[in-house]
Amino acid sequence: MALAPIELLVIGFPGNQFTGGILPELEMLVEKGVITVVDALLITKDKEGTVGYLEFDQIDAGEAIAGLRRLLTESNGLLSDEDVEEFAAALEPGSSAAALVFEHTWFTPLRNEIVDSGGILLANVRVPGVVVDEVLAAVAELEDE
Amino acid sequence: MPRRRGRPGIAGTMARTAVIAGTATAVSGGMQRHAQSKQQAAYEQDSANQAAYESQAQMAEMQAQMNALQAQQAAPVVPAAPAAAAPAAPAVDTIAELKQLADMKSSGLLTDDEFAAAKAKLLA
Repeated sequence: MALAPIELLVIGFPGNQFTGGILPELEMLVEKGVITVVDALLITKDKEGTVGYLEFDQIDAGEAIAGLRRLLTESNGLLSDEDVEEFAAALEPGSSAAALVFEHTWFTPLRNEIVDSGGILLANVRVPGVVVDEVLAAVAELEDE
Repeated sequence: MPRRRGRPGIAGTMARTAVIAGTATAVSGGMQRHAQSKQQAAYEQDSANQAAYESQAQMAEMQAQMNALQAQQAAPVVPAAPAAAAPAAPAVDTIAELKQLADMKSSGLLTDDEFAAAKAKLLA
């Protein structure tokens, strides 16, 4: 089975401050089958600026961030060390970041239904927010006339 | 556990691919299929073009998004790729690259403007 659309999400934690709110949201999405985390790394940048990374299952269970381990069952290897360097470039020293690659699992049944019912996918495009804003602004202007 | 070192990753691959895919795939309506073949071709070109494009990937993506805006067309899925941490680029056969670009232009994969932009980058 081909993967559903894949999204890459990198969440930085300045000063290594982890707040609890993100994890339950992600866990809920995973449990409901909305997304499936297919690869993940914890990226670290120490005070000297040295970049490193940990597999999720290498995160010390005593760490505040250890709950992340529950999100990932198996790494498919989409992330590499060059990605780590890219993401870490935007990271302040003394910070860390969780890089998550997840599959939009919710799309799979819809895709199967499209195929089974003889439908043809003509377009499937993530529209950048700036484009949406511009069009909505144009619409609003016309309504004001 | 997958091996992480010394191989392409998802963000780096996107950044390298974004140059052509980004400029050549601002799509709308009937252009879709054409754009898909462009994207495919762009991807196939990628390994050959990789070194030349690596450092320009982010700039090109921004340019592509601006182009898309100006044309009031929806841009393809090109998430904001952080700057490629470009390793030392190997030597590139510029002549071959130019020929490839010319081929892509003559076969309709690149518009005149896209060709000019790509050529300028190659020679920069």
